[in-house]
Amino acid sequence: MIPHATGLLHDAWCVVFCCVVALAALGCDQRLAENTPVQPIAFSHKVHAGENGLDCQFCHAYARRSPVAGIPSLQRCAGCHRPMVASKREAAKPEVQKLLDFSDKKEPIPWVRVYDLPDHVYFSHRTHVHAEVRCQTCHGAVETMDQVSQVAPLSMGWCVNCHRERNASQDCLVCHK
Amino acid sequence: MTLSRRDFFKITALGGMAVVGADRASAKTLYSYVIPPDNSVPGLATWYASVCLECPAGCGVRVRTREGRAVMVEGNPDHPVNHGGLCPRGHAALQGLYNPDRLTTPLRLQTGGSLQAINWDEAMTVFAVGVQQARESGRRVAFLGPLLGSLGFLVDRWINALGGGLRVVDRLPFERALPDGYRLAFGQDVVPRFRLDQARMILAVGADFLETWWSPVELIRGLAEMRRRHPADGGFVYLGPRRSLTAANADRFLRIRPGAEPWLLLGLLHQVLAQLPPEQPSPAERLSLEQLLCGLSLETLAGRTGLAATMLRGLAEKLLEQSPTVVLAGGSASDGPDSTGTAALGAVLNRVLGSVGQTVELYRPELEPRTDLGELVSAMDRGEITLLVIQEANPVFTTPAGLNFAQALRRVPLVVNLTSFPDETAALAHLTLPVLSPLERWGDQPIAGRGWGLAQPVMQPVREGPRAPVDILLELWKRLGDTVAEKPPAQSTADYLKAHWMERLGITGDAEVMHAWARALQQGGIFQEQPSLDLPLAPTVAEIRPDPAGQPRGLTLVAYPSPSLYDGRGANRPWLQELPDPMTKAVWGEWVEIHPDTARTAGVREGERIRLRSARGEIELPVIFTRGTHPDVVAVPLGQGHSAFGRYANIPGANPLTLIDHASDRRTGATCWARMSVEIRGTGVFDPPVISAGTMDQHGRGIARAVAPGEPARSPVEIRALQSLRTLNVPHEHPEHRWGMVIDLDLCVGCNACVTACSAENNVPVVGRAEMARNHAMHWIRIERYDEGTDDELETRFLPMLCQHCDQAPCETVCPVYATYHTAQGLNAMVYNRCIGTRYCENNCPYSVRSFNWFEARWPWPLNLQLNPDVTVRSVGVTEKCTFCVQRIREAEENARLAGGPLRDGKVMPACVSACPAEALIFGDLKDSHSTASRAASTERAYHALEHLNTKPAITYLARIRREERRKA
Repeated sequence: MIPHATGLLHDAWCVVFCCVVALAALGCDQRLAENTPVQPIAFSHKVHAGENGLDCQFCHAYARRSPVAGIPSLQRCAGCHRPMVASKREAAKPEVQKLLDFSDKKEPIPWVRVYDLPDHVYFSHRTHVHAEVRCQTCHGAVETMDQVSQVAPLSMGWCVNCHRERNASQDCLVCHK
Repeated sequence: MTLSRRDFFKITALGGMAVVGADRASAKTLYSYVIPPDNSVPGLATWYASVCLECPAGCGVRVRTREGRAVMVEGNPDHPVNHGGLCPRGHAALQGLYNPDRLTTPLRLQTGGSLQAINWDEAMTVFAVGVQQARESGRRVAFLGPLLGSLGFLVDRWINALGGGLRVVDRLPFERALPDGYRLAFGQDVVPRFRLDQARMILAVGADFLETWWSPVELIRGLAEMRRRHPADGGFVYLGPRRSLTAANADRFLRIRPGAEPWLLLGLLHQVLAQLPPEQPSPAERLSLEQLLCGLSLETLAGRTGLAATMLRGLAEKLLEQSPTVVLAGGSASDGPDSTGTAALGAVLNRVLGSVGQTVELYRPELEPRTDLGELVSAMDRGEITLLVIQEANPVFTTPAGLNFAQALRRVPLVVNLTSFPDETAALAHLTLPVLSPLERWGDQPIAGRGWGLAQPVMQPVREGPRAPVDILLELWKRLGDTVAEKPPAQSTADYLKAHWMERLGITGDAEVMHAWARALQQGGIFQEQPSLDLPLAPTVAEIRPDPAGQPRGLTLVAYPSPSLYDGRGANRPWLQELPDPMTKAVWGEWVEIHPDTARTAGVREGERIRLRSARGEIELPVIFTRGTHPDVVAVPLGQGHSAFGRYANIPGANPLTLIDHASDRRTGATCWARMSVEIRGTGVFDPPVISAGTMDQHGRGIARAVAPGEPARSPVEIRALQSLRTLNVPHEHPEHRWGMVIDLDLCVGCNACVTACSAENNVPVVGRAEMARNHAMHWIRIERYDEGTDDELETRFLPMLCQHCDQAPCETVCPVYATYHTAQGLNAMVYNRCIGTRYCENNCPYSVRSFNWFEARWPWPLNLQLNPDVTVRSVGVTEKCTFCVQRIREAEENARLAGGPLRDGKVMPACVSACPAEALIFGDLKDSHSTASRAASTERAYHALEHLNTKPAITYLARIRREERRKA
């Protein structure tokens, strides 16, 4: 192969590579922006955590003691909502109706996951809550959101930056096991 | 066209993105709990205490569950049998629970031999009709199974309610011989408990107590305790026809012909009696013993054992000198018509040596087995049995061909088989009913002299369908209605068990019962120490004389239970199939062990398939040469050769029981295996078993060391040489902890418990026979076996080999992408998502402890439910190795931090450490000079493997102690 052609091929590779990187970056941003899934029940964090001032851990009850924060059980949702609608079930809001339907059928609600980490990453809510990292640091101002969106990229760089700023461990085995 | 390194990385980057993109679609839905469980928090483990029912030993277990599924079985530290250790078969109970071949619906045998799935109602109707027919015909009902604990009582009541029948306990000959022998010696029903920890010397005659005999976990622990207490004296002598794992761990191993065991014990008795003061055994006992030995001289006895008279005299002297001693006699190697006699002579010797009450405790058994298996088979043959219920036993596979169990089965009009798996018996049973795994149901197990273990369901059944055996029995009882004399005693297994126990313990009142029951479940049983019985020898001991004509001629077959698969019940568990046999290191297969001299005489090469022919049958298996086998012996492990036991048991092999005739015990008349003479003939076909070890020779590298008592492991010359080693690397700093491990080779017996525990904890994939044959084993820890010396002077050393977490690790410096590096805590870390699979690290590791994922690991559903959610499942193309169970270190650290205290020594227990029955592995912080690990690492026996390479490992080995000079037998 003549040298000139090799150079051309090399340049072509560079262009392809740049495009891919740009596309990937764009893809990441788009995914972030678009990750505002439609949930089976139009539950509003704004109403619950914002207007009514419920503490995050009232519903996400395991965050302080477990790596998993947990999503509230149907029993917990219905525990508040069923007495509220009491006898006049028909007068309840349509989204509350949906909730009570799930509860009547004893069927779990299939929520759509917003925050997801790859399988090789271990994150513990317990550790972060005890280190006094506020929920909003990673999840954004959820109390203002009617529909929850992913606000943090959850990339390794993003995690490590915060660990660096707070002087937390940066050992690989802290997150990868 | 040439591809530059830069271009190569661009292409790999592209490929990587595609893969990442594809992965993101997973697990998008989060289901809420409808009602949250009170006893578990998602993300945290919940533990349940239970009992292991994999063998009759009855070890206590605690099962770790995550989000409602069992992920790990460990020994229960509070249980009086095993005190926290467990064996590989106990760990693999999980693969019985999640076995993909488990039965889910009742099956009915069709006329053509096929099995048809039917529903439970139909099945119970067939069962009930069978019972009614049996009663109307006036013939008998029989129940065969392990019948542990209160199930035995229930079956008794059930049979009585039906108007009588046979209750037969399914036991292997060697499981039966010991209690029968003790009954013979003491004239009443007793079960022994061996306190090896109280002994100074052990004499084992054919008893493979470190692998399968009696209660291996308890006895490994006892041996370790004895060795800890007596670092310089005492000892362990093993006499037997083959070099089993137990024999290899003895301080001295003497080969004897199979059949010589009772003569040997008589010889020792002869000498011990001669040397004891005349008043020592009571006059009555002395009289019956003298009758027993009447007319037998030491020379005659020695002649029948093949050992020199001086040898017997020396052994007897040693037994008296090293008191307290314990004699363990009658393992699988001595199976035959004299096996009960052998066990009884062991009991006699223990009594004469004064061990009873000291190292041998005697207790009343819970419930005596009533009928012998041979009696059942004759009754079946005579057509006296109309209904046979078989519970979790596989007699078609585990009885010798001479008993013709399968043929007798055909004469029973209705055979009902309660089993979790399809097996050889299920293939012939008219009705097969699927039962719950022991981890999904209630149960109990008596512990000789110490109470009872309780089993509770640790999770909801994996699949709908199976039922508990007790529930099936109760349901049937209900269906029989008023036709039976007695009403069923309970509605369900749980009710029955609770009522049974509260009644036995005399606890009444709701609050008291609730409290007592909760406590019993929490600790895993009802533990009550009972006083040991002090019994004199029965006058009938005078009759325990073996038959001199019973000595086999020519080559004798020894079929022994496999340390991994036992009698074959473990063969459908992939962990156990892939577990290297402790002695031969063979995996996924079966073999014949013969002495090289015997092979030479027969003209057989190593690895060749040979034909074994007995008067009963013929099988073909490959040969492994073992220098420890007696030249007159052909040894074959049991466990393989299944024809219908699921996908993992479906590998080439043959059941050695097809060569064995049925005989009657000369003392008790119980059915036993006959001693078989076999002929061997080569086939010329070279088909060696898959051996997972490279070499059993240390080639002088001093990897596994042994020292005389008090001697240091390193010589002064070696210490000087080590001090002169230099490195260009900057030394690592360990500001807080440096994790390390100490492995005491004097206590390690090579039982493999750590290997299975590690596979369970760390999601180590099973690769199968073909990949094992290509040296693609994935185990993170292995037991290396090294031989020193020759034949009778042979010394075997076992050494657990795992990542050494070197401070100057050769693997770290060669990784081009920094996927493996040294942490501040001294761990050699492996970051899978960074690894690009160059395998440079694997190549540069002098300990060969890294393995590469050549394939994407697969766990057929529901085996995948066992995976530990705290450990990454590695993907194809990355290297992996031991992490010192970093997930457990992190958890312990976090718990300590949240509790506001320091991380205490002993709080971190990697899976291998917590599994070890001998507590030979100690894990701890080497920075803390007071930690148990630090103190152990600074003793005289300490050394590192291949330390001349200056790798500075975090693992310290303590050299094995040579308590006895090896002499030629």
